[in-house]
Amino acid sequence: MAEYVIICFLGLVAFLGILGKKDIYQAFLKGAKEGLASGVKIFAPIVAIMTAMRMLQSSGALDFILKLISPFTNFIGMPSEVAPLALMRPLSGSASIAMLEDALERFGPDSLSGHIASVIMGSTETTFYIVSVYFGVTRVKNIRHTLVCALLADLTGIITGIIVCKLLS
Amino acid sequence: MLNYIWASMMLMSAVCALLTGRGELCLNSILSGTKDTVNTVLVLAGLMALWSGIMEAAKEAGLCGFIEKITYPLLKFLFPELKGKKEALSAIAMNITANVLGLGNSATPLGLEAMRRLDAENKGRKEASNSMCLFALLNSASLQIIPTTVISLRAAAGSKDPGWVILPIWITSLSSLLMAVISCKILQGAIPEKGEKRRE
Repeated sequence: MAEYVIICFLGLVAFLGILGKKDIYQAFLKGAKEGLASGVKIFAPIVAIMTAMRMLQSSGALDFILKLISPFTNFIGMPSEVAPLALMRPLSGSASIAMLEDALERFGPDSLSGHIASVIMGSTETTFYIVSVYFGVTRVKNIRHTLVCALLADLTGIITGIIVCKLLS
Repeated sequence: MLNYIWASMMLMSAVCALLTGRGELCLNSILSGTKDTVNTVLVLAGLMALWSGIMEAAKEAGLCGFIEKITYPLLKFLFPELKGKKEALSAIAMNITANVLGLGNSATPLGLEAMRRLDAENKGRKEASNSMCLFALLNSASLQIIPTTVISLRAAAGSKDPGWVILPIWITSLSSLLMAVISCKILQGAIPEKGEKRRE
């Protein structure tokens, strides 16, 4: 269904272009060139984030951080098996998908932990990745309050998710 | 800020790897992981070329003005500074639509296209504009109506009710989205743009 919206949009662009006798092919090439240049620009931020993420995982630092923050995760009522997913979610989409898969398999998709893990995965985004890549295409050096707000929003989502799952389960 | 977070992630990992003797494992995972990263970036760059091209063609065809006109009444609360900035607004509208429909592969390149247009409006200043901050925040919150990835993963894991999570995900997404917008609007007043000199 959603795919058809895009196809219709593409058709509409071509239709209007022909109708208005506009050179949309040249316009496309110009835009594509700029888009590609931005693509090159975000190469570095993506390598940076992915490297840090992989180091955290493979060095055992992630497990250490989890132990460190366990008083806090206990306090907000997060099951300990969901904590790694909640911590990884802002960093990497593919790593958190793998973690959700693993959690669903081990604890069962219809358990409370399974529910909480699914809800956290579905209601939050890869915050660090998005912020660094989005600002990576700009000339901005100072992102002001963006990261603070994004983390506040993630935290709100995680806490709400836990409460809602406990109430509805 | 990103700098300190990144640096502390690297430092902590390095110390952990040294203390637990996982140096080799750690290095291997970085080096082999870079291959996947290159793949991701190449695909993304290609998609960005595609969408930036389409947006430029849509502008040439006169569609941007139309999109801006129908979506501005909705977007004006969020982006009051962008009044009349057709290209930035229509890219934002397209990105939000793609996000809501769950078209992640198109949402990111469109979002980056919008960010590029916002940067052009920001005239090369080193400080992010209010619109840039809020727009990045909208994308770091989840706007998707049907969380297809999660539902299919649950189904694959043998759930009796894979769609159980839809309502909780809506409630949760809405709460974090509200938090993002409200905290952004409050903090943008508290941390105002310094109005540093504009580079031409």
